[in-house]
Amino acid sequence: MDPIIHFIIAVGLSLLFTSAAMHKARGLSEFRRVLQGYRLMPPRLIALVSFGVPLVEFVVAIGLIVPGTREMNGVLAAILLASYGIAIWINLARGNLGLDCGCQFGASKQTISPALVIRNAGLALVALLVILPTAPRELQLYDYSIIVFGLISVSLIYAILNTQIANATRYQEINS
Amino acid sequence: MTEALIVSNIISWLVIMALGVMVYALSRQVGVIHERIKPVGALSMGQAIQVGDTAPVFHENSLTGGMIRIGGEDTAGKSSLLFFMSSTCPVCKTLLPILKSIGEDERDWLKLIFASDGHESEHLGVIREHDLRDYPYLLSSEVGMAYQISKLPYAVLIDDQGQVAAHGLINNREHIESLFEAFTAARSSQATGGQDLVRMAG
Repeated sequence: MDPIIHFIIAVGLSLLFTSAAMHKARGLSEFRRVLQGYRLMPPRLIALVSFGVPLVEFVVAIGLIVPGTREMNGVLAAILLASYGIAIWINLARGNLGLDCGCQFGASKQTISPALVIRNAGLALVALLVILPTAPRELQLYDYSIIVFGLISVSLIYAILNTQIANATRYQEINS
Repeated sequence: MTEALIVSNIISWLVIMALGVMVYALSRQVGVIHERIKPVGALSMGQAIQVGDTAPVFHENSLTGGMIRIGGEDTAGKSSLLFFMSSTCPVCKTLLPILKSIGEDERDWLKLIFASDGHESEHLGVIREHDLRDYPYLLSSEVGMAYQISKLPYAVLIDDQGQVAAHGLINNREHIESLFEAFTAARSSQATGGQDLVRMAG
């Protein structure tokens, strides 16, 4: 794989995990409430997990941009993303459809939907791409500008995807 | 040639990003529109409970102390606004301050009653957090079932004669006011003897 694509994936995921960790760390009580809603662990564990998740996310975010540990953290990132997806999937299967997914962090409620499971599966697959070997080549100024353009575009597309999922969910609620 | 390709490529990137920004703005606007097109005026679901029906009568313990009676003729001549909510519904919580101010403003003729079901501890938390100690707050799934509440937050306005005057899904202050409007419309037409209007107001 070309190092530019490799770089965009790694830094993009790192940005994603940094923002996720900061969101959770800033709204710990809100995050605890969301965790409770998922009903996946005994209440005693919630305080511990609510600290642990943002911490792990932050470590992964850093690990993804440090060259030596990139591959390992790519796998970790895929595991984290997949487990969030599975948590949503379990609750969808339980019929707990009114659950606040926690995507908006209290700003407004967004209920869980299959689209979120697919989104997370896609992200996890992309994260796994980090372990593919890269063809080494000398990066020049132009390559770096492509990395910046690529990162901005990918972040935009991710933001668009998320608002579209939120919109579709809200539209269904109006129509139901 | 290489230079031309590089220039063209950079222009392509800039165009892609500009399009991305615009699609993002568009999808945000769609979200805002979805918020706005939520039904205007409290939406009646047309189930068993009908305007003009005699409201089912209940005697329940209030979490804030004492007994409350729902339905039946009110000796003090007051109407009741029965507000069905849940401790886990964010919209319900945003409505609580509005309801409190309405309960305060309209206290001469209106009793505000909160109704929900579930664990007592959660609701005691809600009462503490939103300072609802002055209002009756009952926990009973029977009341919700008797009034056929399928969506929350839902409000039922019962007049002093114990009849359902108006009811509907509540998402904002305007929805509550639309219940009062239906109520006053029904009142004035009752005074002139126009019974048909009473039905229409619902």
